[in-house]
Amino acid sequence: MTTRIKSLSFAALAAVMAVPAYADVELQMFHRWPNAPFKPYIDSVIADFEAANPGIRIVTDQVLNDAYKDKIRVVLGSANTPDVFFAWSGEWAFNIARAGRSMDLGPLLEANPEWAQNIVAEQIEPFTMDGTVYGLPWQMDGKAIFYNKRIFEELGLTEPQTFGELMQVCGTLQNAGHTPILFGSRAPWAISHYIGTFNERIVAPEVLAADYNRATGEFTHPGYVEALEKFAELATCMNRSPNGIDHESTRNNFIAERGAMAYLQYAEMGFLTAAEFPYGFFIFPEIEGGKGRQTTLQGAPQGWMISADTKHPEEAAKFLEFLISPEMGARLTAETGIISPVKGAVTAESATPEQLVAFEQIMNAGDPYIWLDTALDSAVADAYMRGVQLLLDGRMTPEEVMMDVQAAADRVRGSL
Amino acid sequence: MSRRALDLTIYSLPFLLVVGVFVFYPLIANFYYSFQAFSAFSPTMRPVGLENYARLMNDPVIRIAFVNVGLYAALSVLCQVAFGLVLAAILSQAFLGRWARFLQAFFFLPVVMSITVIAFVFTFFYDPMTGLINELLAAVGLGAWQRAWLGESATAIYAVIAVSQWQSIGYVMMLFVVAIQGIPRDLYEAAELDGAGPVAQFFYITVPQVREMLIVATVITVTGSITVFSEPHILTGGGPGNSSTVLATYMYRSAFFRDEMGYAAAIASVIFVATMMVSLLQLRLFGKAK
Amino acid sequence: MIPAAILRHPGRLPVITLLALHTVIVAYPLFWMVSNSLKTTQEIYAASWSLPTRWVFENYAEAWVRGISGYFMNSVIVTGSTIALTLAISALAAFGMVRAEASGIGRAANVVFLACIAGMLVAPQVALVPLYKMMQTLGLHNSHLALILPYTAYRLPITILLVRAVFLAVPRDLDDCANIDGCNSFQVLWHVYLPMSRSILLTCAVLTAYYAWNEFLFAIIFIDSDRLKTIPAGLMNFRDALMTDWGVLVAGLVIAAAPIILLFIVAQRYFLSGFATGAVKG
Repeated sequence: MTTRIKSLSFAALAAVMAVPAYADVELQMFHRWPNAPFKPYIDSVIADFEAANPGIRIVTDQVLNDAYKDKIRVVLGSANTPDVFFAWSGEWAFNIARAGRSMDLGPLLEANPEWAQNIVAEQIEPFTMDGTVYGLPWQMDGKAIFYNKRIFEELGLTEPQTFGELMQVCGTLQNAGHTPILFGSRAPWAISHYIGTFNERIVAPEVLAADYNRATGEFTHPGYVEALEKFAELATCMNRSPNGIDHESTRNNFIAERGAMAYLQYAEMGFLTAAEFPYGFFIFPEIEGGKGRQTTLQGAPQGWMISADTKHPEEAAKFLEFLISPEMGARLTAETGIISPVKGAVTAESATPEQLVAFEQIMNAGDPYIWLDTALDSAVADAYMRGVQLLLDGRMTPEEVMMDVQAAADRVRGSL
Repeated sequence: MSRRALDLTIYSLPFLLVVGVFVFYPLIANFYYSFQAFSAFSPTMRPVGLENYARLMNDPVIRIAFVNVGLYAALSVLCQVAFGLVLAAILSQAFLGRWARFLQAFFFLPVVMSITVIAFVFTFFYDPMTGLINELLAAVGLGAWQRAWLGESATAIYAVIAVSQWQSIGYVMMLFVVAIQGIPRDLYEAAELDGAGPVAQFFYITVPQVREMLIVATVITVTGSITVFSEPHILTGGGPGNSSTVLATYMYRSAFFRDEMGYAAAIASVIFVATMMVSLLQLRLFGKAK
Repeated sequence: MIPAAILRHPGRLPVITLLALHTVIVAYPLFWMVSNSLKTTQEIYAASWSLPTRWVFENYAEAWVRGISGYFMNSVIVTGSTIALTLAISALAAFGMVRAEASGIGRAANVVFLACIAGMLVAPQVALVPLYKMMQTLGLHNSHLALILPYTAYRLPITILLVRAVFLAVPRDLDDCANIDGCNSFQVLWHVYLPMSRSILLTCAVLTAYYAWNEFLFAIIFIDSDRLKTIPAGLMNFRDALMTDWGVLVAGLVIAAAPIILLFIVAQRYFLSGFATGAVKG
């Protein structure tokens, strides 16, 4: 009798086991979007994935930008690292790869060539260190100066082609009683996007390449001081006390027409649907006399890594395949405004006309340059951003800021 | 071992175990870590000898942090201890009747609120565009004084300190209320017969009688200032620049943003030595007072 | 009552003005929180000092489901466990000390006493880096225990000293009677000492609750998952997620602050005496 029940229940168990392709697996996912519309999108993708793959459950955790940069360190240092986690590209990603915390994704790409060739190849590049792919892109992005077309038309202004013209535009706006550029640098990362741009335009590419590398970075070239001086010049066109204002407020103020321009990311276009005026955007103009590249776009892909310690590499890979698929990419663009790096995801159906323009800009920009805060070693980036906060506050000169940066870079080099 | 000694051992074992593991061991380990270089997620440590401490000596940010901690301590003692004592003395006046008890409890209320809640509310008040403080200034014709209180190096640390005062005055006040309750009534009665007014009574009776509590309250506020973390972390993140950085926020940033855990441990040692010195000072002062 | 008193004693006017002023300073932020928790974001943005034109009670429901409920439960679990653990361990250790002192081995009890004094001198901040490493090694990181254990450890020294002071006052003959009745030492603690020390135990519970409910530094570092975060740490996340939804954010702040304020009103006596005794012995 007992044996019979036992064997019966074994049979039942086997039957149940046969249905799902995976035994009960729980994947941990850690990302940086606690806010709408991104979190609802990710949650809905997960729901779809779980429905299509019974047996796999995905549990998420999320904290915003700067908090993510702190928390990911803690999480990766812990015993229960997330299986799939968000990653910026560039040095930020390499730092994690060097510590052996992220999985080599090359085999995954090789195993699924059809799927792999759907991803824009240039966007995989910034996740590649010494020929090994450590992360996969999920969002393409770029930084552009967004402007209020209504105000521009009122004053007969056109998109500036050079830094000089940009300053003239600002002058006209100021005379007409507008705040030309809205800026909030309370969260330091917003600063790095400006400084990255001025460095890119003013300093020669080979100098940048050497200094952005933590093993060789010195930051002694006079171009860096010049870049900060130019930035300080532009800062005269910004609202007062940017250090007291969040980037989110900057965007809200742009939408509320409290200023004419703001340096925003394409990924923020989803928020701009609330604006009651038409807007345009242009890539940061060239700087006359600069030794750097004049037409490049700032913007690095952001994406996902799989933890090197994951107990479920197969399931995690399966999830990434789902996340970075043409179908989900199209939904990403439509629902959140983020531009997907999956070929065929950004179309007239999924994207607004503005997003299509942004998509074209990214595809034609050639070699983009990476957000400065994720391109540099974090200690160097910290010195840079904190220094510029004080520059904006009139407490430090460009030379003094660079001395701090040099000291931080020296320390990083010395610690290798 | 005698029966009683065995009892003592058994009864205090849980305590000794928990405190040993989570209080004393970390203290020792911290010194060890302060001679290493490592990051939160790096698999290995690299011994660097005294390098972290050498750097500490020349780090301008540490200097800023010390100045800020000094400011924090000085202003806290002034606001909390001095003003708290005055408040307590007033609230101990007989003519307030039942109001005294009510106001004591009411002034204590901020103490029990979470600092996160308080900091967020004050962030709204300090907002440069829509904040209450700037609106108030404009309303009373001081529009020129408007500023981004948390966003300017000149004001950030003071704006942070002000929030701490709002929260903690009630606490120190309460300590003095209790101390004043312990003063024999006849001292005041005798003074009144001699014709001493309330102000004179405050200086000649209340202050000397609560001397011991003055020391305690001062030590509490000073040690609190040396270890302060939440307020600057939430309100300014230590910025702009490093203008409102204190020792604990610098330690946090070194450990979890700049990948300099060893350096963070060195900063922790500094915090330990500083709080230790204040506590030893307290013991000495107590010795003299007694 | 007060206005009449002022008329009779004009000298009290400055004192009463000062009290009134301080009352406004304390009251206004509290009033601001409650009134703005009932507004829409636009209304807060436009006029944060005025009363709400339409009372948006939905903010509270929204804040509750958007995560505050979870943080709240976590805080209850962590605070409750910390109180239970702290009181239990403290009562045992204090009892051991008192018995030892009474039976002539005070020197041995002094070791425990010194451990308490030394423990009180260590600020939790100093232990941050080693505790972080330890939590990883012990596999406690990102669990409620990662908070409960250190919270308990840093509350124990002061709590033991407070409890011991009261235990010392328990009459020795009661103790002996119980022994003659055949109680073992634990039963003496349970039936004699604890019932006689209810008041100090409550005071200690309140002090511990205050600490555990509001602790911030460990709470943001030792817990990663949003599901496990306590209120002070969870609110940080809550703010970032609701940067554009201020009414809900402020409603969340009110929910977070309310329980401890209510507890304070109910248990005022223990709070006030607790903070005072806690400080003097500290």
